Amino acid sequence: MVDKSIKILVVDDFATMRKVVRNLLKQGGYDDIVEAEDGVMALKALKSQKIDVVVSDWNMPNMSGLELLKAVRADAELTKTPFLMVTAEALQDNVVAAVKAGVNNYIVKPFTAEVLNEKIKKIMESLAK
Amino acid sequence: MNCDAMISLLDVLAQEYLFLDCKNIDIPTAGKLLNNLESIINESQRNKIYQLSSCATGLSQILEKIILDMIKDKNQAADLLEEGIRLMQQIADSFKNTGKYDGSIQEFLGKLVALTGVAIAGNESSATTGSAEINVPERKEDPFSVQDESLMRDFIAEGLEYIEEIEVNILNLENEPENKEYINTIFRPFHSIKGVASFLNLETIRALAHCLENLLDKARNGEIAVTASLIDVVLDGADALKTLIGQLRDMLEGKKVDESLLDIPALKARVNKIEQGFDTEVGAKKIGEILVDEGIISKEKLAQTLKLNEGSPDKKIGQTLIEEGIVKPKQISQALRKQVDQVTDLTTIRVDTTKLDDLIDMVGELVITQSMIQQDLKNQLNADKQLTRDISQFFRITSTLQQVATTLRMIPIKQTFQRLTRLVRDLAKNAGKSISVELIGEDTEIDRNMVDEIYNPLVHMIRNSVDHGLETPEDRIQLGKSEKGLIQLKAYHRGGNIVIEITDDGKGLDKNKILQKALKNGMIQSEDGLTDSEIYKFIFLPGLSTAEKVTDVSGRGVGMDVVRQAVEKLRGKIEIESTAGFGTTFITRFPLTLAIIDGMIVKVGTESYILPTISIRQALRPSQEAYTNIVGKGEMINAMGHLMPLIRLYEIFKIEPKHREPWDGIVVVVDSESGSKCLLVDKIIGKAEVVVKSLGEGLKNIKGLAGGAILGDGRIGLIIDIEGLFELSEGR
Repeated sequence: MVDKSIKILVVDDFATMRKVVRNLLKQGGYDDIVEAEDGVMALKALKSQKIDVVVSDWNMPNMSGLELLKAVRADAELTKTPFLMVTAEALQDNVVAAVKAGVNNYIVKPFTAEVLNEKIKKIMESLAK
Repeated sequence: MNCDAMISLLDVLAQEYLFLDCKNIDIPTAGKLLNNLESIINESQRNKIYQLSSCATGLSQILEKIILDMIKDKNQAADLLEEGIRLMQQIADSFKNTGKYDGSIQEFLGKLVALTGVAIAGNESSATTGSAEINVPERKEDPFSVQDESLMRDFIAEGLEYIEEIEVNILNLENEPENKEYINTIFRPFHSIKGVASFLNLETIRALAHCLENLLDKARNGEIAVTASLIDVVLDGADALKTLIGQLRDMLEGKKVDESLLDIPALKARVNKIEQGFDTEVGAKKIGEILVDEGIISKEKLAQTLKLNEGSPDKKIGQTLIEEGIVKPKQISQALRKQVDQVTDLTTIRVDTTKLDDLIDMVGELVITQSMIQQDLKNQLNADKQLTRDISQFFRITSTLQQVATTLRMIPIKQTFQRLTRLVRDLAKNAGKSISVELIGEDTEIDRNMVDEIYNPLVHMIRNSVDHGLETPEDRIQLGKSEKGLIQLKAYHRGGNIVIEITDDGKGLDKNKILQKALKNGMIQSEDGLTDSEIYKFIFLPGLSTAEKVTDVSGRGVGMDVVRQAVEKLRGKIEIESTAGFGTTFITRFPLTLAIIDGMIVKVGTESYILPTISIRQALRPSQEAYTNIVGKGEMINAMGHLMPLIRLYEIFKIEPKHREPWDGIVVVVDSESGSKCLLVDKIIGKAEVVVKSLGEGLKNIKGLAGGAILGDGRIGLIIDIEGLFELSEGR
């Protein structure tokens, strides 16, 4: 059983999209959700509080999802933070780049609450191992 | 050959592979494997073991497909991965022992193709990764329907805002079609709108945004050019999206919506046309016409072929012509190249700015040399008449050349203004104010090197206007003003300077508050005899902020002081006009370029100095009575009825002057924001435009000097930094 009290950071420049993801996560029983509007803000959030999972969009101004992922992996303290990449481009190249950069999983827009929560569950379970 | 590195890479790969379960793939493990394979590909290519790199490329493709969930038969994929790793180990071992591998990898590659459908080049080094779209699974349920009104409303508000952003950015793109970053800033909003629309089941919006996004993606990848018609269609697309989102809002409010207003299919058809490289409006000639012009085919033949082509609209005319054996492929490609040439703008070219800077520097040197020759000639009593005539012709040419050269680097201030417009919008949003921006004279030109320099001071002034100048909408209504505040940005040329005015129609500066603060801080003893403009100038002094509340925008008491410093550093001037209740205007004056300075050459002893003309108020020879030495204040000169401190330049620079007393020499009154002072010099040589030279890294930060210049007589003059000189004289 996955711990539902984990803190999830949702990163997307589009506020409505953050709300969508938040709603979908709530359907999965996750309540502790923080938001950031781009990679730069996300890094700030990651450094100031303990985040259990990052759900980040790919395409954002200032600092893209991939750049954020790379920055997280390069940071000694954050490097192990589970990272779920949301991509709408649905392009192989993007997914492969994210996987190479060490993403824990990826999800293609549009997705359902089921798929999203399944991916989170999978990430958390693989960590517990 | 050293294969040990390769073998150890393969060992790591094999170990990692043990952890991989192809049926339930763990993405981080797969990521490690992919990176590992990449190193193997690089290493084997470096060692020219192409059999190995082909295998590794194949394996990474299987792995990618597994990650992307594009392979049905997971068992077979797992078998192939294992086989591939074993095969690679064999190849590496064989290379280590014999320096070659005689076995064949074709059978293995064949299996790969059968599974993934991607052919791997046998001996080539290309690692092809496709960028095919992943099949997005059909969604069965939809968690949001129109009932989810609040989400829908958020989308409407944010979507419209994003479209506005597109409109602002696309103008930038039009100016710089090559700038990928601009394409990206337009691409992103469409992309985000598409993403959310897909969640909200807004199919028409999603499809349109998707279509425009694809178009821009192609432009970003350089597959198609950014042409006027592309920009038109994107703008039309943005308009259509705006209308669609507007209709959505109407629907939510229960209003009737007339859907027939929009012709989305026609719009999509236009997008498709541009995507295929047809430029619908720009006057590029068609391939057929070019071929006819070149005399390669006849008009009749072209008409026949076009008819033949009508049956298959996807087929290009060139293709049919080749298939019919009418023209050679080479002729088509030449015609295509011609077509591309036509589309590119022939009236402008792009030049590296460093080259331009070099050119302008060299022209500056040329002008200096010219004036040296001029001086020499004057000194020769019996100068050759013919030579004198020729040289004066040469002077005319150089001065025209200099004029042309300085205009080369000039660009309109439009871009800066647009950035500022955007800033106002953002700041207004944060401050909860509603502000419109009016731009006047955006086409006014300024040296490219100045653009970045003036941006920050302008930002500061705008922040000041938005934060302190303009009232909140509620206050404005109460005051009987229109709810929306106005900020006007105006640029024009005046006397060799560019003047930029920032005007707001807010509450204006509060004279009393400024006075009180100035009294409190001991800047003045009494408020008598101060004119309005003198009072306003206090806000440019350090430590004076009348803002009651410190916001995150401005109001920490450093703002306007910093602005003044920045403006003066650029040899500019700043003034304020303000009417209580009606608004404030900041008037800044900047030189058009930093490369040339308009100066007055003065002499002290044997040395020449250049004073920036913009700082000079007057020059005079004072009478002995005008000189006073006040205890505690130092030497003063009474000029124009005001007592002003005297600075003896020879004392500051420690040189031997011709005249030691003010009434023997000349006193130049110079202004700075912190006041006016008198400079004692020996004599004034004249006015001149000089090319500013830096003193070099080592002497960069010498107080009181802004640089050097080579004067007409070939000697060097130092350019004086007035503000710095004042500080020196006060022992600061």
